[in-house]
Parts: sequence; C-alpha cells; structure tokens
Amino acid sequence: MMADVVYWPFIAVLSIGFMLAYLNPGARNVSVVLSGVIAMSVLQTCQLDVSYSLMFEMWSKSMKHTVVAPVSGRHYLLGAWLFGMIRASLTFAVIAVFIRLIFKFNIAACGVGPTLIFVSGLFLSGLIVGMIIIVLLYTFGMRAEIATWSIVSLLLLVCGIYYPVSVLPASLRAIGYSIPLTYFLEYYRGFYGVRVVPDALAKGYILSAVYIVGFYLLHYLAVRRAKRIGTILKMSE
Amino acid sequence: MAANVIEIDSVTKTYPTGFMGRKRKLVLDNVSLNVPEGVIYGVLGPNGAGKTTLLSLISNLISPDSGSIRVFGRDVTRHAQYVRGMMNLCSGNPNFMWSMSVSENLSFYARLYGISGATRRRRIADLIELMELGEYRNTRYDELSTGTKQRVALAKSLISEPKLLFLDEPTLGLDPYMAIKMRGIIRDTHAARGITILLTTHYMREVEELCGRVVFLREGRVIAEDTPGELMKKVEFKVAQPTMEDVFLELTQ
Repeated sequence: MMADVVYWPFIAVLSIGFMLAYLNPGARNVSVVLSGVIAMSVLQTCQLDVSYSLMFEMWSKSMKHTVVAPVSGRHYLLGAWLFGMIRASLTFAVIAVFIRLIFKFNIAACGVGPTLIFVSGLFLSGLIVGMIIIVLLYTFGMRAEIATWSIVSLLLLVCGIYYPVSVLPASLRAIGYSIPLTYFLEYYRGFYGVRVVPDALAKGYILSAVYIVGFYLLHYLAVRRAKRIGTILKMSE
Repeated sequence: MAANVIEIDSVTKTYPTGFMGRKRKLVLDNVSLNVPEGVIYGVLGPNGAGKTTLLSLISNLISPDSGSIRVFGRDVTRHAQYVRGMMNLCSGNPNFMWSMSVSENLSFYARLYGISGATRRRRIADLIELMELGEYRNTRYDELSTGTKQRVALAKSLISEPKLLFLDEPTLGLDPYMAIKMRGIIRDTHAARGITILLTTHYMREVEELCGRVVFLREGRVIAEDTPGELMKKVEFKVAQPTMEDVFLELTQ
C-alpha cells in the first residue's frame, strides 16, 4: 500500500512534467498545471483511504464484525481520514521532491503557510469524496465500487485541476464553483500570478463544512437504510 | 429469578423482494421472548426459520419493522454503542480480513473494542493458546482451513470478554475433535464468566450438552420455548428415550 504513495504520484509528475517541457507554456501556466498534479495525487491518496476503510470490509465480507463493534460512524470516518491524511502528506512530500529535482519548481515558493492551507483544503476534499463513495457503497453495494476511482476523474473536468475554471463553458463552470476544491486551487494559484475569484479561501472552507455536514447526514441515513433492508448482512456473506 | 438480559417484544421483520422491492417477505412474525441472564440459550429451527435474523436484530445489524428489543435494559437502536460494547459475535463460515494474519485480525478487532497495549497482547496470546492457533499465528487468514477459521472466529468473539455472546453455528465445519473442544471452551467460558450465550446450531447433541433453555422458531414464529428437559417430556409418549433431535422433528414437521 505504500507503493501507491510513491508510484502513482511519480508517474503523474513525470508524464505531466514532460508534457510541459514539450509545450513550454511559460512559468505561470506551469504553476497552474503542476498545482493540479499535486492536488490530484494528494486528493486521490486521501480519499482512497477513507473509501477503502469500507471497501476492504466489503471485499473481505467481514463488515458485520466491524458493525457490531462499539465504534461509532464518525469515529470510523475520522480514523480513516486521519490515516488518509498521513499517507497523503507522504504523497505531497514525495511530489514536492520530484517536482523540485526534475522540474525545478518549488511547491512552497508561495510560503509555508499558504502551502499548508492549500493542502488542508485537499484533505477536506479527500474526506468529502471518500464520504460520497461510502454513501454510494451503503446504498448500492459493490456496484458502486467503480465510483472509488471515477469520482476524482469527474472532479478533474470541472474543478480546474489542470486549467483555470474560467476556461470552462458556463454550465460546467457553475458546477465547478459549487465544489470546494475549485476554490482551494484558485487560492493557491493566486500566489503564482493567476487571477482568482474573490474570497476563494473562505468560500472553500464554508463549502467544505456544508458538504461534510451534509454527507455525514447522508451517511447516517444510508446506514439506517442498509440496516432496514439487510445490506450489511448481504455484504457479510 | 435471574434478570432478563434480552427482552424482545412483538418484533416483526420483513425484507423487500420482487421487482423494485415492492413485495415484502415476512421473516419474523410478532416474536416476543426473554433471555435470562447467565444461560446458554439455544435458538433452533429449520432452515429459513428466522434464527440468524433474530440474532442479527439483537446485535443491531438489521432493524425491525416493528417492536422493540432491549439488551441489558437498553434499547438496541437508541443505545447501540453501549449494547455493542457488551456483546460479541461468532458466526459459521466466518469472514475476516483475508490479507491479515491471525494475530493481526485479533489485534484489529481488539482495538475496535478499545483494548490496547499490554492487555490486548495478553488476551491475544491467551486466546491463541486456548484455541490451539499457535502455529497459525502469522498465517494469512485466506490460507487457513475452514476449521481453523472457525477457531479464529471464536477467539475474536472472546477478545472483548463480552457479557453477551452470539454463537451462530460455532462448530460448523469442525472435525469431531475440534467440535468437542469448542463445546468444552464454550461450556468452560460460560461457567467461569457467567456470560449469557445465544447459540444457533443444527447439531442437537450440542443443544443437549450446552443449552439451559431453547426456543424453537418455524416460519418466523416462536412455536416452543422451555428447557430441553421439559421439551423432551412433551415427546416422551411417542419415543421411549427422546432426544433433542426427536423434539426438533416433532416441533418442526
């Protein structure tokens, strides 16, 4: 499991970085794209640990033994998220070293504080995505497994992972601006000369809080429904 | 008279079935019963009678359509964490984390029950010795035989030293030597700790050896509830020396 902390970020940095070297887009655009690489890798690592906490139980068909243990839903989610943040921090460190060595780009050139704030936004987004997947798994069972790897890809399109949201058509832009990750990316890119929306950071944190509360409630309802229709038992046989 | 550990009052459970889940399948029908403290309580019946559903309701894995279930005086839904802290579960054909070893699985579940440090290590060591799992301590779970997995399941169920234990076919798949040993462990654990045990099994010999009281379910309803001795008296006139197997056949046919 530690291999994916190093392997996938390394591949992402190399492939995107060499593409940038070929296109030679200029320093500001390089910062836009590389910040996207960082966001994608850190976000994916963090959310995978949140969603894997349930998926491993489903694959092992051992869910009922965890459900009957005296662990509340919020403690379970928090524990998985904490583990995800630790591994995602390692991913961030690995990417920072790769990007610095290979492409001479300093992730923390904007300052340690803003960088940590940006990373905190990625962690919050990882928790939100992980919770979405867990709600889908409780609701649809293993059929929702595909969401584990596809939701972040959808986010790629609308959050401006590799480009500013302003280049998107109006309809997609509206979706992008309803997602907290967009604002954290805008905030970080603002330090590299990219024009950003006003109050990006506040909007990012407020939206994150709204989504976390909302999806926690959905999680509670999904578990309640799963107990009513016997999903947990089916996933343990 | 012992207090009741489990109080089940008019519980009904259905599952959605058919196209879009529009039909309902009745699994338990207005079941009421009390389980006294400190007994090994057998839950018996033919396949599909509702035994596992009953255990799953009490352990809050599923929720009833109507009725109430109280464990140690607390509603299992409203006080779920409290109830879960008092109980543990061992089921037949157990599934645990396949990539983790025996000791890692026991450690994982011990942590879920809040058992840490030296206490956790000691309990794991004691249970590995009790269940004769020493040579499998570092073996991956998916590499174990069926019988060995069953022993791991029982070890896991005892790791939290529960006051209420659910044993859902605990000797399923075990050879006679291990089945006898498991029954001995269940009996000794019950005697030493005075815990309440709910046991489902298809082996009537197990019922005769272990259970102080039994309930028979058929098609989701309680059809008899008493001590094995009293139930055997009810079929005495038909068979000279009735066994629980005779009682089972009499009640479920």
